[in-house]
Amino acid sequence: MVEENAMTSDESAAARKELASALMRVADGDRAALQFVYGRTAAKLFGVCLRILPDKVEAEDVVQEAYVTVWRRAGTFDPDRGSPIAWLAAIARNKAIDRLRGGTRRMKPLEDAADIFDPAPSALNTVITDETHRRLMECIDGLDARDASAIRETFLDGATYEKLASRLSIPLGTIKSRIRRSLVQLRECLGDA
Amino acid sequence: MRDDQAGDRNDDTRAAEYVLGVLSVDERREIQRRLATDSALRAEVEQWENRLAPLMLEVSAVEPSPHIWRGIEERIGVAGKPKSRLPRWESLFFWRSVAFGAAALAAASLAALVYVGTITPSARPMVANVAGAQSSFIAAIDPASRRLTIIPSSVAKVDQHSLQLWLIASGGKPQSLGLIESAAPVHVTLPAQIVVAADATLAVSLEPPGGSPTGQPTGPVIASGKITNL
Repeated sequence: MVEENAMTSDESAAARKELASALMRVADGDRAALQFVYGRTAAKLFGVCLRILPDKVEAEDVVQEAYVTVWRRAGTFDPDRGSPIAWLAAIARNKAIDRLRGGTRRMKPLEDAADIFDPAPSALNTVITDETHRRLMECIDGLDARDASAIRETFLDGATYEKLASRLSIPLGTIKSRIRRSLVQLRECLGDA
Repeated sequence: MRDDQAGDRNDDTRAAEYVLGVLSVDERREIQRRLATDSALRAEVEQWENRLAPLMLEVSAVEPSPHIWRGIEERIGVAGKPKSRLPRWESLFFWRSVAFGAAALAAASLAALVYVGTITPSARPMVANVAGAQSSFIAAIDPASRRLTIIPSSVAKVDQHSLQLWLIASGGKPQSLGLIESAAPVHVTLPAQIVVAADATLAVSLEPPGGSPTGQPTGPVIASGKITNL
């Protein structure tokens, strides 16, 4: 499996290293390094935020907050403990989900957000290898089909258990135990990240 | 506590649920609070962030408009940036270098507080180097949560005395923040009536066991220092 993705993995490892070292420079107060990180990752993270917060203005605000946080806390990023993109994504997703849960957002039709989707591939996609994505998808595909799509959608749109239950018209307790079981299964399938 | 009997496996599921994003606002806050002190939970969360991150490949990238970057530049300009290459509040390495042994635990939790985003840009942390001839402490205050952490770095023998922490507002009387330890970090939630300003002083006095009987310092002050904004 290393063979067939050797190119991709090499490119990806290089992109990851570049991003990680830029974050180290951000920790030292290097604005150009922050701009580099932004250039590489903002389109993806904005897309991620827009899925959770379809209101464009809210998503923009969260993205700004996320990079201000990156600026201030780059020193807490530890390349030995995970990938830079997972770290960046966690900051943006957590802010977006907390904002969504705050219930203060203004509602706006989804179509507005769809208008500004840009299908151009993000440079970030080279950081996440096809290989890691393929492995995760294999594990997700090993789940019950309904649970697999629930896991995928929830990660992307940040729905609560309550929302999932009403969306799928199943009792709250049932969806909770199904998702939990799926997560345990996923962990077994993926091993230690 | 809900997870006491449940053990690690349940915490792992909780971490996964947190990262997946299915938890309610209260449940998320509880996790975020625990992340500040629970390094095992933090490791679980990090692992799940790494496991699930590839799902982002399925999201279309959306180029943000140029004013987003300009807004970030403005915000970091306003927030101010610590001088390059100086130890910084946010840096784990900074905390590792100032804190040893038991203190490292508190340092890690402070760093985690920053990491989980409990410290917001509008409320920059405050610190004080509380030092005297033979004893010194490091204190950090998160104005948003009103939590103060005081970490002993070296403390002279206190025998049977208690160490009491005081806050002295500029021109004001000492207000007790309670008893602290000579060999372990202590977390204090500041009472609502106490106003913390950057020019206030923190002081540690030697008191009879159980603390000052009068509500004011009665013994010698072994360390003191001004609070400054980071």
